[in-house]
Amino acid sequence: MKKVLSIVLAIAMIATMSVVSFAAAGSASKEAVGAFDAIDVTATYASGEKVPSYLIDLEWENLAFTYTSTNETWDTDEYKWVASVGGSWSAAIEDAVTVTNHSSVGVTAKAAYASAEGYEAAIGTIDTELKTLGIGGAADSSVAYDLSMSGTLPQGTEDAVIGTVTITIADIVDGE
Amino acid sequence: MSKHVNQENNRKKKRWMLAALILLLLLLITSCSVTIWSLFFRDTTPTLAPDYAPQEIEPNATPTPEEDQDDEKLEQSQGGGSVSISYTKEVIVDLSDEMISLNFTNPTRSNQDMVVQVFIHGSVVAQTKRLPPGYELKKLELLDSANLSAGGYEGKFVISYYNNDGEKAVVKTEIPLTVKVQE
Repeated sequence: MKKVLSIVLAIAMIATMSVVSFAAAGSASKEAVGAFDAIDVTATYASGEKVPSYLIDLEWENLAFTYTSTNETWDTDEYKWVASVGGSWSAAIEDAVTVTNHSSVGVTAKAAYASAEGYEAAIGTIDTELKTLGIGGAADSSVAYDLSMSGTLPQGTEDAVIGTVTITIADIVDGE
Repeated sequence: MSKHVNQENNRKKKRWMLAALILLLLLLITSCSVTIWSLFFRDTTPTLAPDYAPQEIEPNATPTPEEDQDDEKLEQSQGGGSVSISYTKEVIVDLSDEMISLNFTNPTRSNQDMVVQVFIHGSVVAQTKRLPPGYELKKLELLDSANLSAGGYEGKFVISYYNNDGEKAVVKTEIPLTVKVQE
């Protein structure tokens, strides 16, 4: 009798072991030993300081002009041709200088013409208004300047540098 | 009588010798002054960029990274020019080693050499030799004549361009800068 009872009890104990396998997944409570909820780890991307990067293209045409005097007369005292007052310059050069901004920020461009020493009577005209160029790739990131000449040129001038065009590139200041 | 004539002659000789000595002394003082002035006080600061490109490439310049070297050249009209310039607007002057830290590049796609001058208050404080396309500049020597003290200054780059024949272009560029001078 005792043997039978022992065997039955042993079988019953073995049978209860399988009950654990029917436990639902994740049903362990926080109070249960060794069980924790997943803790989210978060992160945020914060941009570092952006240092403006400047890249400017500058293109210019052959800035050569011809001055034709009205007529010249023969000086019988000096034995040479002397230019009369008045003359004309060759046509203005369109898009003489083009500035294109490829920078990470908008910039301003300002053109100026300065006569070379000895050629102050030859006057170069270029748009000196401050231009705003948009950020690189923008529709307004480029500007082109025309250049024209007026005044007079000393007789005998040949292939001389009579002036310089300066383009100043600067940041856009508030209000411009 | 002859004794009196001799004395007179001697006096005249002495006067001539004295005059000659004074003249030589004046000449010596003048030549010393000119020498001292030319050695220590003469202003040798270049203010104009050269009319022709310097032969020598700027020794502080280095080739741009390889990925920039293959860039296509800008278009350029006959007799004209085209350049690209890359830079940052802040430069730092270190007075202890008389060097300027800067970022300036003549990208490969440019068609002209450059000479870059750094101006502060109308004076050139640094000037490069020839900077060909495909070269960048991170440092530059301060000119001996630069007279700066620690602090902030408004300055500018003045960039002149030169074609393949070394002829200076009739176009140049100016770029305002912020200059920080430190001991």
